[in-house]
Amino acid sequence: MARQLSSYLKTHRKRSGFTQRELALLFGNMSDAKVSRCERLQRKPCLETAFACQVIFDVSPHELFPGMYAPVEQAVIERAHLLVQTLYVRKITPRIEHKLQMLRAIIKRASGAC
Amino acid sequence: MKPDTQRQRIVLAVSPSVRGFGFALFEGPRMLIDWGMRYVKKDKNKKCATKVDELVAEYNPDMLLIEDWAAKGCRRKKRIRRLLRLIERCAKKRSLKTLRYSRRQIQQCFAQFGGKTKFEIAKQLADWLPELRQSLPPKRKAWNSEHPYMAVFDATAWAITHFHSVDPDIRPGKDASR
Repeated sequence: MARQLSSYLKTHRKRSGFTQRELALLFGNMSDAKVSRCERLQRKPCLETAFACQVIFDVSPHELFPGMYAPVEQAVIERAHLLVQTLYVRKITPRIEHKLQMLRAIIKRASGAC
Repeated sequence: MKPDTQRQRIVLAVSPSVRGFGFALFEGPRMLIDWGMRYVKKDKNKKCATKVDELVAEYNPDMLLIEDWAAKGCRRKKRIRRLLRLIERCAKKRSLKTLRYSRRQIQQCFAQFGGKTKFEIAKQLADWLPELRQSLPPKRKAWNSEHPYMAVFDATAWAITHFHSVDPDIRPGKDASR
């Protein structure tokens, strides 16, 4: 299902019953103020924090932070289309054909994913 | 591009209480996104309305649900009725659709699930929504005042009643939250 909120970190934190301070402790080297900013996406979580969220809540970073994921996905799809056009200009070799298949799969997967 | 038809409506339900208000935010009938109490002191109506406005600004819901203060049999005090009207006016300024449900409609909705009293309805909600289970107040004794956190369960009940009125087949059971 298409999501609306940009971050579901607060939802999962409240479900788990943790306070922001306790979550900051689990993240390590973080304050409760930073957790609050991550919940509102005023501060983009780093990769370690995103992975820590996955460990704690068993939810992928892309589901936790759809607001961050969506623009990245859109930009990658646009660049994939550009790359397809660039590759078509060249002589089609087995290697280029394989790359084109990969690009088509990327575009198809991104278009069909929730 | 993902079709917009798949987008679930975000619904904010608010229930005023003596110390502030309880709220419940749903994304579709099966996902409780946020819930809790907002406490205020002094100039309660103005501060409550401001906090509701903050919630609306933060989550940008599609709809606001409140109690129908004009319904027959509504036992709310004057201050709460004024607050509900104020919340409705604030929502109108933001072009936010507001729906009102009476206590009777809540009771009719939950009667089919075995909930009659406020506590039974709250217990049913806690059963459906595990995240509320830890916050269920104890059953009220005759000499106790109502636990302030019951306002959260009231708000959740408005939301469930709304979804049920839209689609009577909705059963917020085990799949009520992801």
